[in-house]
Amino acid sequence: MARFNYTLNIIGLTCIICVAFTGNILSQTRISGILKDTKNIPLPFASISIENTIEGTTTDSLGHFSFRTREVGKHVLVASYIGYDTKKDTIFITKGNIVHNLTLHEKQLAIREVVVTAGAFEANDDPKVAILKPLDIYTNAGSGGDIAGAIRTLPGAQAQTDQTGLFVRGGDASESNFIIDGMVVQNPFSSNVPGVSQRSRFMPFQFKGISFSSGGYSVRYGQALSSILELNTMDLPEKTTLNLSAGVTGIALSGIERWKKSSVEITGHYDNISPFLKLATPNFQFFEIPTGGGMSANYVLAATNRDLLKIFLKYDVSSSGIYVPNPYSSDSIHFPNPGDSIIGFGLKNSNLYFNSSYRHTFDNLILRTSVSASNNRDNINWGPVGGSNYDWRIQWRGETLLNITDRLNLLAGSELQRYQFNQSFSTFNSGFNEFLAAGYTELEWKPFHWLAFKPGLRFEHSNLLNKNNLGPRLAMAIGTGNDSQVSLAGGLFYENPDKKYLFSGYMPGFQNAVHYIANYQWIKNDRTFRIETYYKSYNQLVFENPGNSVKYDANLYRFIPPGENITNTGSGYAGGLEIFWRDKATIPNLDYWISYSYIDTRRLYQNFPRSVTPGFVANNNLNVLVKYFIEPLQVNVGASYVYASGRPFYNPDFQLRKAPDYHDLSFNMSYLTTLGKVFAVAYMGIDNVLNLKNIYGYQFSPDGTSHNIVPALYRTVYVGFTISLSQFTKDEL
Amino acid sequence: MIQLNTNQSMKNLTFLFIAGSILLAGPGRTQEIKIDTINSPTNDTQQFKEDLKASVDDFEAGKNMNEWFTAANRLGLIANKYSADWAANYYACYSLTVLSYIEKDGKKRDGYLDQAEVFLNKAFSESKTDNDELFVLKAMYANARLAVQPALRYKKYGDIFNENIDKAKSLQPNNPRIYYLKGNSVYYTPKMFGGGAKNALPEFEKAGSLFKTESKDDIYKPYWGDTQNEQMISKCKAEIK
Repeated sequence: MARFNYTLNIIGLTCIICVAFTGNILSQTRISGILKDTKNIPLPFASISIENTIEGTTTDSLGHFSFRTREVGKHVLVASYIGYDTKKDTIFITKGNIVHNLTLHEKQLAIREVVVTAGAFEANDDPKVAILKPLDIYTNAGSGGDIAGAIRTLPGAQAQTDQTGLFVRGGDASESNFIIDGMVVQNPFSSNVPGVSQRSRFMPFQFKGISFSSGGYSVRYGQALSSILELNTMDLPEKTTLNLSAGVTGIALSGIERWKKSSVEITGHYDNISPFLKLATPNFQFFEIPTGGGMSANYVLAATNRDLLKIFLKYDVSSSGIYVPNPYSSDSIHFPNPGDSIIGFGLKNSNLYFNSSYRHTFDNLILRTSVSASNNRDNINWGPVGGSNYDWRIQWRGETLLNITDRLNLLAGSELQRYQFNQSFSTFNSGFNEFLAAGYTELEWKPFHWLAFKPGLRFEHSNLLNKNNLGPRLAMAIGTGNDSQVSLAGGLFYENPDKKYLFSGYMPGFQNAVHYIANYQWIKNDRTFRIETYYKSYNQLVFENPGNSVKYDANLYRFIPPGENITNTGSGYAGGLEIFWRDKATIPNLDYWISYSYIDTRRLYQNFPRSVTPGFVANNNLNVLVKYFIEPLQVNVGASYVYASGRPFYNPDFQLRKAPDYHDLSFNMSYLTTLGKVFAVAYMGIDNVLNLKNIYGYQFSPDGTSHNIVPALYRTVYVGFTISLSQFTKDEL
Repeated sequence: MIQLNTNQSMKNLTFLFIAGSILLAGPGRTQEIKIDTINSPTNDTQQFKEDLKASVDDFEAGKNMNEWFTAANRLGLIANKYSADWAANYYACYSLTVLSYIEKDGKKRDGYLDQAEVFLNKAFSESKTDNDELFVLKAMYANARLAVQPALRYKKYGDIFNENIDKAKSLQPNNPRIYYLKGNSVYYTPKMFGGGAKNALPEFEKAGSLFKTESKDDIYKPYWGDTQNEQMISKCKAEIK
């Protein structure tokens, strides 16, 4: 190059140098050749050199190279090219021309380690396991920014429900646990209002990771026959900000102060749905407009990069009065307003939640410990009859994760949970106290990059039932290519009997479920395909009807009278196939996903006279979600379509009546802008755009008459905005 | 603050340094290199510095793939041979990082950056003092990693970028490359997150005035970025109009 030209110029100028350099050139050897890969394709712009010197050249666009060297004798010719293994050939340099062609082998692509995925859907920033991002959940049309609403769009979960909670793979709401930073949340949803599915109490943007397991979950958790929804709160926030949001259902204010190693976030909200009711006509009447308010505080300290402490405290109150269909039959023990199809349901709730966790990382060991507590009170009026629910919970967890080798990790931990439920209704009081102790251990072994095993064992002792259980679990993954893998998972999962039995003093044993799950997953270039199949057997379900003597009653609030024959003789099964496809790549700025679940399930439990598909299960669920970012306008638009086949309902004689299919089409849009240091989002959404008069199902009175269970609202419109002010320094102005 | 979290807006980053590298056309060059074997240590050091400078200047003056790769490969050879010199490793890392912006294939881009990272770590370990230029380079390297998969990487590499820019600033607030990189980061941040030409221009202008005071004589005092910066200033001004 430049130096060589320069050298030549000098040759013409100075005699002495001329001699010296001529000598050099005469003694030089020209080395030339072609560099190709194993498919015989020339490799351009690769580096060719003689080892331990800086003599060399770069191949041209056709893979040719040619350079001169004054080195003689035995040398090593090095060819290197990004993405290929470096080749070193020994050559013997003599005078004259040497032609030496080289072939490079493509480097084994960065080896993709398999990850156990059977049963789990991850939303986080880890590209290895994440199928969703937390933000995706917040922006789904139709989910209304509710975590549970968004989870219902995933395979395995029932897409729509008139009841509060998640219904996963044939399980009822009690079979799903809601976990924050490893700790069970006793009251994850706003207090139950009959016939109205309640929102979760937590906002999605508080979490950096969300993992939804529809089965086969880790030994860290128990007391859930079906599913675990695991949420992890944010670590240190990026910066100091002040946020204000206002919408048709309330306002919220929050501020984050970020220091170098710590942060504090304070939030406050006030909710009042009056403006919302001006935009939509509810199917229920209110005698007290729902209002609420609350505060939260969050402290994060990362004293060193090996420590992380998080403390979270939240307090909320709410109050509402709504006329709901009367779930009580006239022959039940307490019959507020017998004969009335509508009954006033007044609710005043206060909820306190606390969670703190600490993590310390040693060289080969991670130590985690957490404490959580909650306290929840509902004051309820069923028509003229007063009642209350009061419950609290304390949980401790300690665990260590030992990194034995790069391919072998050992998790061992234990947890203690103490909780109490009390309810009073009219003059009746009941309650129970549980103390659960659990210990668990799990090995994660990856003998090869394409093979992973995760065997584990969980032991639990229930003080209330005075029983122990041992749940073995196993998950594994096998790589089937660079972008695909097969995962298998299974295990034994236990859960206490439903609260309504414990309230009445019955102490049947643990119920259990055995899961078998197989999935195939392919992820490449922002496209994801996943197919999963499972079989689940339910055993030792609580059954109160062995002699077929109890009349069926669908009332969730029914009281179990004393003297019944309550046993663990119920059973059931669920099997199904689920498909998920997501594509963010084909059309720029367009992201869509399709999730379909088929389920076949039956169970004989509680007061069922025979084994049937329960009323909370639709056999077919389909979700189609589309999001598009109109870049020049800075506008996001989204749409969702939800289909669920009709659910089965049973009259007091246990005759089946199938509800019609459910359809919902929803739209949303948001506009993002900045005004100086202020970041603003304005949004609007319409749920059930077509204003379809969906019927969820039927509620039967003991005399056989029925009325339709309908959504709280048909078409729903909401609007709102969020403004966020970030901290700025003088030189940014 | 960089918040480069949409794929689309970040595609432009690919061109971030291409523009910068298209400089004045130089005389035609051959691909050969010829370094004389020098025996005296003093001469060797002198020769090494000259070779390094010539290669860096060639890289900066490159105007096509052939020229960039030729210079970058040579910088790689120099760094391998003189691996105990921080600057040799610094420029090998720099050239590979710039090449990663030019490459379109994501896997190859990471391949360049894997190699760049080796040189970067070596440059840090061979540097006897806290050198602001190394932190600037690390910030640029982080930005290049981010640019490969912005949506997935903005959090991790955004933090590394900011951290190193801050560190460099605390060591030498008058390093123009700090503001040149910041300007680029702002420029390619979506407008809705406070980016865009208007917000980037002050950074480039600050860099511009600091570049004026820089000498281009000593290869141990990096001086790259002036021309690229001037181009960004014109680009910003054109867009604001």
